[in-house]
Amino acid sequence: MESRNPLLAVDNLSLEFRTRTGVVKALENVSFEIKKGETVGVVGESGSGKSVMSYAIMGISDPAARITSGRIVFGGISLFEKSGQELQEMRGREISMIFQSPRTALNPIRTIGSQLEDVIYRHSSFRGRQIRGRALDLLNQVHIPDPEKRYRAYPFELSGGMCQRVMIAIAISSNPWLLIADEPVTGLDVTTQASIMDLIKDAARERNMGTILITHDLGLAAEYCDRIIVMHSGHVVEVADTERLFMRPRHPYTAKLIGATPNASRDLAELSSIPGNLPDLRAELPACRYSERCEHLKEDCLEPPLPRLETEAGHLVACRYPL
Amino acid sequence: MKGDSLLLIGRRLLQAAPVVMGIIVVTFILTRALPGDPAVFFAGPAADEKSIAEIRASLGLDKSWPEQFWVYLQNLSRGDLGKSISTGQPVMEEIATRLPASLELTLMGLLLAVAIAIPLGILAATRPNSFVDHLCRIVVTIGVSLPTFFTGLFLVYIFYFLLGLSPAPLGRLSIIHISPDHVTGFYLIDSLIAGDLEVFRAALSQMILPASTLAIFALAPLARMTRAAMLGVLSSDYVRTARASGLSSRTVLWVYAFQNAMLPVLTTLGMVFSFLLGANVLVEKVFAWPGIGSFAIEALIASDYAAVQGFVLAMALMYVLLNLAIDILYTVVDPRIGLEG
Repeated sequence: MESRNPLLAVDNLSLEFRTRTGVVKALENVSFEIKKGETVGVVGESGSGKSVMSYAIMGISDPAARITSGRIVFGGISLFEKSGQELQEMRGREISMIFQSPRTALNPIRTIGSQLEDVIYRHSSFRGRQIRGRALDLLNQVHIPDPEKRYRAYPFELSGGMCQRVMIAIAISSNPWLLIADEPVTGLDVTTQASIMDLIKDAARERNMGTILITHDLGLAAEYCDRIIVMHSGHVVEVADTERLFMRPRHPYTAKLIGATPNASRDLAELSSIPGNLPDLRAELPACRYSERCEHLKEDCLEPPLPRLETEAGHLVACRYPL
Repeated sequence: MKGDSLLLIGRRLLQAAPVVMGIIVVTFILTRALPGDPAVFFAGPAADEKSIAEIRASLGLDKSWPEQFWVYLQNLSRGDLGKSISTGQPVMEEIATRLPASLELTLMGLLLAVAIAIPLGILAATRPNSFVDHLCRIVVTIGVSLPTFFTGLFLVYIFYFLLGLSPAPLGRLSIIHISPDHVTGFYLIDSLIAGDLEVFRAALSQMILPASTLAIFALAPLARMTRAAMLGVLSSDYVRTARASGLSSRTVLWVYAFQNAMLPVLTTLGMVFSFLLGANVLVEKVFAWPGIGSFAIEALIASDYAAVQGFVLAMALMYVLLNLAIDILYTVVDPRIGLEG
């Protein structure tokens, strides 16, 4: 793989859910790229389509989901041209994913050793005793104390942080090129959060692995990501390098989001909330889905198409009148 | 883990003791509270006051209830359930010969139900709104809505009367066959032990219709629970993880989904088994099955205290053992169930 080519390119991806109450347009014309070794944050409030997008990349979308346009190109090959079998073999080997609430993300009635072995058996040429050796090695790599003993433990016998370490061990077992971490530290206590994030960062650096960090915590994204993608109700509204995004947000939503994030150098009283709610994605929507909540709304904001301006190199904003 | 399990089993056994004691008391009181005087029944229509009183004394029924209960307890500790006043046989012997017949039938019905319901439930859950799913729904609805005696009669009408495919519904073996030597009391097993394939086939053909009747009844809750449990498990976080890890569909379905879905199914299985023991009573009547259910009905009609007591006691003990077995299975399957469970 050429390092100049993106590792992952999501191109104009639209996805909808057919439900009994109507068609939910969960993603619309989502485009972005991830380079090798790069950590990219995807931020936005709940319901902005962050997880839906990552499931689409993994090919594990809900059966009710339907991709209506666009492509996902991974390692130069469009994922939609691969067979189900090929996608299955790719998952966990080339793209891995870890989830929120690690304790329920592991099979409750299977030892963590067996769960790790299942994945190693599936994706490697290790057999027999080698598998166990490899599994113990991985548990060591994710800094699980006394791996021999933990090997026979069930998820309910481990803490949330430990379970997330096991999840990471499973995810990196085949040295994937891309790791999608969907709210990996939500619900863990702060010191555990830091150690888990450091673990992900180190694992990514050692393997030159691209990482997508999905989070609603801007502070976390700021600390660990090279670039940040801001999503709002199924649209990518802004993409920029982390520093530039925080220095000079161009989309009104990003600005509000930053204004709503607590910060050591700012008074809590200065925190502002974002007015309004996410629009109902089943209804007819204006070109800009943020328009209803926007303080800078102008008449032609509602007219399609939704612009995608490149205000500076690598700084994209989906707003007709960027700040 | 192993020592823990043994301890758990021991504790469950201890917990069962007061239950059994309670059952002994309740059955004793209940049978005496029932209307009808066994002495009158036993003495026959021509008896006068004096002979009834004699019979009452010989049965020990003239004593006070506490005295009767004490005698009952003493007999019980010797394994003596008293004599059936209608057949004159020891109740213990009656139950010992009839219980295997009922158990064999019930287990066969349950086996049939499980063999159909679990695959059906899994297929329905993995293919929602498909043909199999609708089939599952129809089977479940039929299963719950048909009473067992009706299903039994209906099957007899079709397969014996109209089609002539199955033998007459007259018990465990037709009269031309001799029952196999008693080893387990299960004709299917005993005939195999004796190496008599002809008797095996005869016993099996007698059993198919009543076992199917029970199976149709037991299918519904099992299939429904399997489907619901599978649906729940298939949308769980850990199945999503298994999919995201690229595990093969077979591993995801059997190792990750199925094993977890079996936990609630196991509970349902225990319940269904108890229902079946109850449903047995009517099915045995329809198929002239010489089981414990038909014995109990006759005893109840005749106000046969000892027999009714023996029956209820045997059933209660079976429930206790069954629940124990389910508990033990649970500890084997689910590591989360420990001592505190």
